[in-house]
Amino acid sequence: MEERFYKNTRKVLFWFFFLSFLIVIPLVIFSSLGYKFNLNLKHFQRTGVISIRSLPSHAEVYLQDKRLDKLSPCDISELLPARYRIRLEKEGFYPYEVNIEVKPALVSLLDAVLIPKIKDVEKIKPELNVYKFFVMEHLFGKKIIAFAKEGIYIFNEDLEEIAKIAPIALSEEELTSIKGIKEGRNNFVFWNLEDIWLIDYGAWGIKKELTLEHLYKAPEPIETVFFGFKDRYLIIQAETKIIALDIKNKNVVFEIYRLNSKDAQVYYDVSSDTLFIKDKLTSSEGFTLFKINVAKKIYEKGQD
Amino acid sequence: MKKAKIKRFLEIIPAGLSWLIIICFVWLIIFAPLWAAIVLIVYLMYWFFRLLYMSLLLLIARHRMFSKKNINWLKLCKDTKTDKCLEDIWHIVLYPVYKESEEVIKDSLSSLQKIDYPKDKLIVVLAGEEREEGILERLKIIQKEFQGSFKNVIITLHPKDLPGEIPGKGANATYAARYVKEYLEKNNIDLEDVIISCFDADTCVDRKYFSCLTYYFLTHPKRYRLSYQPLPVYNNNIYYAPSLARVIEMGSTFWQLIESMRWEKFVTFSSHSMSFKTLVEVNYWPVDMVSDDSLIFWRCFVKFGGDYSTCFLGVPVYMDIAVGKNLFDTICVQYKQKRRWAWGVEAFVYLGIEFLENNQIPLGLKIRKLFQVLDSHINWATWSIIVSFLVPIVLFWTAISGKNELVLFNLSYINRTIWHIFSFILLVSLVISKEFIPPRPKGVSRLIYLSFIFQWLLTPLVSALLGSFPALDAQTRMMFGRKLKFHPTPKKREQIDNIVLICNS
Repeated sequence: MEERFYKNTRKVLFWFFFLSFLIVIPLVIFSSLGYKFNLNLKHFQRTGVISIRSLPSHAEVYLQDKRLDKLSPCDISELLPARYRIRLEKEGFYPYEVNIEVKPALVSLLDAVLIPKIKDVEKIKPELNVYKFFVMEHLFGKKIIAFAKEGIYIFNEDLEEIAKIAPIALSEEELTSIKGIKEGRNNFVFWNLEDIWLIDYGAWGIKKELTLEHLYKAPEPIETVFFGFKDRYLIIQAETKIIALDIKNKNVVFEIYRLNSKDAQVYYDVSSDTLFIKDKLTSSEGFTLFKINVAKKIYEKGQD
Repeated sequence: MKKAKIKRFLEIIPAGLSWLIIICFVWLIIFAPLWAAIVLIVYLMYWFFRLLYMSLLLLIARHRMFSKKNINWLKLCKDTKTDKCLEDIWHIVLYPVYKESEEVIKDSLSSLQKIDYPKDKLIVVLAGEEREEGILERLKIIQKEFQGSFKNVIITLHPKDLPGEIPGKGANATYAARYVKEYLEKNNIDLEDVIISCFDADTCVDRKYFSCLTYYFLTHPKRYRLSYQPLPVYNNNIYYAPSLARVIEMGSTFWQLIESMRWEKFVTFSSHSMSFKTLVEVNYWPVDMVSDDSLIFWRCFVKFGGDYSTCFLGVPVYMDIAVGKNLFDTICVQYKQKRRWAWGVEAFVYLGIEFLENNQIPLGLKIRKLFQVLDSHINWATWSIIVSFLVPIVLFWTAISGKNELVLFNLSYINRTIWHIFSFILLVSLVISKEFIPPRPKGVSRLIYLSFIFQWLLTPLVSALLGSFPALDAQTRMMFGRKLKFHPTPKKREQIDNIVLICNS
């Protein structure tokens, strides 16, 4: 082909792109600033944008109940300032509806997390009559402890059985009245208002058959139990008494502190072996907050 | 004194403007981010159109080049009836040599042996540097080997430390060309009939290079007002160069292809040819400047009152990809090479001074040319910094600060669009680059073709690292009055496959 053809083609291209740039750039700037020409009113109006993100993505988008031809994530642009009702729908998830205010030259962000509809029920494999269950956070995952008529079962997060104690010598009344459970070193304790039991499980997953031991019968209703002093002791709040119990020698039981009020609140910090207590120091005063170093207390009791 | 002050002022302008643009952008980002976003949108839109325009030019240039693939230039030369005929024309092929290995030079001369043009019309000049130890002995060995292949193989030795010179290709080539002039006059060869080709030592010519060149020379009505520019294709060592270097050099080839479509801006680059008579008239290549290859064009442009242009031959010459000992060294070598090319901004200073004393060139043309040089170099020194760093900074700042201005949101959208266009250009590059890859040498795995495809993914990294920084470095050095030494690019090959691919008939 002739050189002239290439020269002319290039000239045409140059002017085409140059003029396109000149024409497009004001439009792009105006549009970027949110200006939109209203043909009916014959003047510019400033608009805003709703930017929609959702987890999971690809949700259908409804604006004022009218379905848009786009899926999330997406942007709805050139919206005049007003409140808009946005609904996101995705099969298998609950609809997500929200009112969003659009302001001129601004982007209103809708960041939605869609909740799946509950469909599938994953049931534990053994047929059990479960009275109570507790979830214990563990370094390598959650452990679910179920107290059932048939025994005490430990499951992992996938509801696979890890260990069990079955049958057990606990009555239905005792099982239904369990108030709490705490994990210590290679064991955990659970309690109701009157009794504390200990389950020794060794290392997780190693000892398949667990042992259950009755640890303590409280003279007063048990409020809460903590592990303390390197997991050797249980610190028990039984109404107004705070009692220390040696787990290995369960006959070693002694009161370490007496609370003034039945409404006192106790927290035991394992790392510092300190009791934090909300209580009245004298019967006339209001509640205050104080702490007691339990390690020291236990040591003193040992000296006695 | 006055001239020195003007020169100094002109040296400051390019870097001054480049830094001003960058600083203004940074200032806007910090103190007026919304305005920064608007300016960046305009800038990105400019690049959007420019990239589209350039990729179309690349496709058209490729079409133009390959449409001439099967032309028998030699036959055309023989059939041409002008005031000169094929037999009248002599070719001087000048290779300035410095630190290139014997193999590299021999490969270049071997490519000359394979041309379709009468070799007894070729006089090869090996121009060595006295400062290189043992060069004379090495060149003599080469001379002995190739003496019979051409009319003559001449060796010149450029003395070191000549006053007024900076060591480099221009000074060496000029010294050799002066010697050749004497040789031609002694042998009663009319300078008007002589075409000189000044090649880098690693330049392997295409089979049809000299027949194509001669045809254009014979037929062009302004043959003495033209430089003749082949397409530099960096592929001699393509199978042994790192992907990063391949992408950069392929980019240089593409850039030359695009430039060849912009006639009014097209200037000589690297290996090129011109009339020997014209070369003598303009007093040879500049000896005190680094960018001798482009400055010889501007020297002619000034000398002939603006009546000088560059003719794109559409025939390739094959050169080496600049590589180092390892990847980091390759990046350094590439950086230095690009910085040397960017030092071509000295053309702005040269033209500024020359135009002041020149009354032949119309004022409009002077302004246009000055703007053309300045515009290309300032764009070079700023675009990748703005696109690769400043735009992402604004977008990052928008994200972390929770700003919800629509203009910032649209900047992000336009930026994404630009990158989509960039992907399209990469695809075009991938397709076109395929045609510049020589056959695979024995011992090289087929898997290398995968790296030839995926190498283009490195383009954003390459443009960020080696896009603007070498140019900004060169301009800043010039602004502070520092000189740039001529760093010869290392030429190293593990194996040479000098295969003529484009015009092989």
